Amino acid sequence: MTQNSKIYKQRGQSATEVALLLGMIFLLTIGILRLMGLSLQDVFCRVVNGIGLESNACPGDGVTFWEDFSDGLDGWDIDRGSNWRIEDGELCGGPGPEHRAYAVDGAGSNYTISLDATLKSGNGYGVYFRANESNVNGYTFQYDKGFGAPGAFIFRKWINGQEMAPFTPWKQAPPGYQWYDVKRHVVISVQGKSYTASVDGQVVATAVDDAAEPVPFFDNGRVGLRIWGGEACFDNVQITVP
Amino acid sequence: MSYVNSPKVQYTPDGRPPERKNWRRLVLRGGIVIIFVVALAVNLYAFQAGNLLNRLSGTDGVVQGVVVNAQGQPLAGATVSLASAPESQASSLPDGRFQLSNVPTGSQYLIVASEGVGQGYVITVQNDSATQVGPIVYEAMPEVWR
Repeated sequence: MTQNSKIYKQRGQSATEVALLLGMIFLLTIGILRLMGLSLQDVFCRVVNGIGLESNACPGDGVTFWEDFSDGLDGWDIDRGSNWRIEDGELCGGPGPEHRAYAVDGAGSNYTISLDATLKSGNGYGVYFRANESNVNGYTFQYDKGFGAPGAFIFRKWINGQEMAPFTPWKQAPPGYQWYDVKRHVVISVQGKSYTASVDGQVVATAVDDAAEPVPFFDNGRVGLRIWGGEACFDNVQITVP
Repeated sequence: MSYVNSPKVQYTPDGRPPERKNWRRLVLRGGIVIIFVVALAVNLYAFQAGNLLNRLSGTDGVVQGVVVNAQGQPLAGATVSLASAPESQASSLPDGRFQLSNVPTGSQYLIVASEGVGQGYVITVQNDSATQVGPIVYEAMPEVWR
């Protein structure tokens, strides 16, 4: 080996060094993105949307909040309950006392919430909307196994943290309804004073809140999840504005 | 300037130059006195009538009442609050009585909650006197509502 070739080898990088360098840059990039509250998927989707393409892995137009829990509990404000966890890529809560968690982003006035949810045990789960404060003022749609027999789908209103008597008629579930261990696709439309909920494509509850002063009407707020007296899992939470 | 053209100074009999009224200073002093008097009056009034801040913000109402069940029996331990003033919360006593203080006046929505379910009642809270409401009849919730 000549002296020149030695010098060349000392000054150059091996494939291993290049790989390590690229790995470090990758890790640094991920770290910076996480500091900015972004994931690689977010970046991918922004690029895909930016160049006008579509991908099943990315939210569509009008989506203001999208959560598949790939980043753990980031983006969620755990309000009550100590047993929230990520399980098989889903957000699960309970069993135990009431569990509540709110999406950090996505608050607004009129929106559509969609999610996949599975009740594992207990009385049911609920989806908060237009919710404010920890001692909540707002509304829930409830997949309510515990509401009579055989359970019901119902909108409820919360004032000063109190779950109020139903302000609108509710719909009993059909006899023999399979409440547990079935992943249901829930969609809740919140438009002005009118609220509509569907489960697996079927409209199961509608409500109109005609409250007039001094009865409160809530026109804005966060989206959240609740579980009471049991266990449930959630996935693919999406908030879309008209 | 020559001595002849210099301005004349008129002296008072005791040899001092005449006092000139400083109107700006007079107005300022008068303003201070007026503000002091008004502030004193407001504070005295507020001290007599209750909390100054509450009075200025219109949250000086008091609501007193009794919560009973459908059979007319006192309902103890019910949580009572106004929708517009969640910080003022009370729990009904064994005889069903409750009192909410420093609450907004006018038409209000009273929330009574028992066994995890709330019911609402529209009431009018008077200014300057305790508003008596009730008896508030809290209907037992059907089992399915809980």
